[in-house]
Amino acid sequence: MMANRHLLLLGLAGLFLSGCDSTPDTTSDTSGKPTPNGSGDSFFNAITMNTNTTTATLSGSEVFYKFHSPLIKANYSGTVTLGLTGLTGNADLELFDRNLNRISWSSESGTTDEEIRYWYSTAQFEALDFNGLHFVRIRNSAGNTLDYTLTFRFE
Amino acid sequence: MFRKTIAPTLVALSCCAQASDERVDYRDLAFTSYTFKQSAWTEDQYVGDLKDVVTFSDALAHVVEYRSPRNSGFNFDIGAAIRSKRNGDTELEAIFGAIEVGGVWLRMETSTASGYVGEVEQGHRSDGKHVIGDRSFDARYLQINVGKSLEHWNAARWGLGYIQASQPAEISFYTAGSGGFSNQAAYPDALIDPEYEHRLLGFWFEVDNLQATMHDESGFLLSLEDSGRWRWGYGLTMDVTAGLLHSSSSKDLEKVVEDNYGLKLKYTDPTGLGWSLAYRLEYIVAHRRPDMNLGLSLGVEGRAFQGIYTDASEDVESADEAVGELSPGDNMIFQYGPFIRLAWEM
Repeated sequence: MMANRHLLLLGLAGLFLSGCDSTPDTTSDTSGKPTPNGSGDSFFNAITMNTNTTTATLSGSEVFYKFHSPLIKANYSGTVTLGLTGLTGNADLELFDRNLNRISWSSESGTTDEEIRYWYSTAQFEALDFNGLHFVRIRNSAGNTLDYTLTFRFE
Repeated sequence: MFRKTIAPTLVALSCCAQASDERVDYRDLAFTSYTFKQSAWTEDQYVGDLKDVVTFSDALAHVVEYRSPRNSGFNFDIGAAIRSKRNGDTELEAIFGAIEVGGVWLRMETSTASGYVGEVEQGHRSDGKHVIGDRSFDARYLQINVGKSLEHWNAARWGLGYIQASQPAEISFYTAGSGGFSNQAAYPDALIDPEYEHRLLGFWFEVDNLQATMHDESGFLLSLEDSGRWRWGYGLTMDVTAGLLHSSSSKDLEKVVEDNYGLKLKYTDPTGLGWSLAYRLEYIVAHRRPDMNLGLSLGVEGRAFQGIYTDASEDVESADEAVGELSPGDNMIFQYGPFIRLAWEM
């Protein structure tokens, strides 16, 4: 009986201690990192916008893009403007930061153009080290195939 | 100072009272109380970084409770908390109630509040967290108890308790290297699930010191003085549940991490030991009359919800892996604020 009690106490102590220190070991080897396929089906595979304008057709429920600007430095102050025009169906537009947190969105009805204008202050960009990387999600609200033109600009 | 001021006053007031009144059995009296306090849902409840990003509306709460006379065949409690926001809006924050069947109490309490996970400024110390899904959320709390009153201690109950809470939680995120790769999303330090769920099952005990004082019963850490019809002193009213804790994400974390970062996530819903404590550290004044009892308590009230988990961590062994872990230290709840409570039995 006494031995069982000791075992129970040991088990509880182990539970406490393991709960206090559970930080996993991480390898520093970055070889074999996953490579995006650029299909636009997720944030990871977001299509890189190499120019300020992209015209395409969306048949699925959503598509992802990413873009950046060498204009954005640590003390950047200005706006990033996104536009979604030439719509043949209802779509919504969302803008995400480099942490994939949604920072702004536009959700007009029908084929009305969507626009996002997001302002940055110097303070907000104090520690930027990702060269102004942003992500975009276009949601196909109508469900049918739709054409669109996506634009971005920094000013 | 307070005690020095109050005590002589009470003694003076009670000098004309008879020391040995014939009182009705308090079990024939209905108990009603009103409490004014801060809302149970506040970002200040977090002890970690969530305090910087989680937002609830600033609000005060008005709590009204009614307990039926205990000598009747059917005993019940019922109560509600109304939240009054700073902008003037009011809404139902919580409802609670209990019934006694065959000497066994079945008690239930639900509470809810809408909140928002705010935007984190880049460069802020909370930068590097990824909010999964919508930033707006509904925090929910459910408590179910089955138990009995203690004989000769009507203000106390004990038994089995179950708590289910849904609220924002921060899941630490570990990857190989640091910060992600050029032209890809930054690897976050933590994922924030706005509606993470905790389930706690274990032993339950509650005691209401104000009611105990109004009955001349023992309380918990209750140190009373009396003079005539008056009683006063300090006490610790509490509702505590302690037992097994299981927590789980409301999101498909593996899919989120795969879609966002192309990584394979190693994550297991954690299990361990947990405890919940709703408390009032209070100064109590009670006045016993032959046909009724009056009580007043004021002090600090709040709640704590904490736990420790078994070590189920795995290691990041390659660059295409990530490990997610709920960090107890960042997700513990410890909330407190002033309150004042009035009660009467008649």
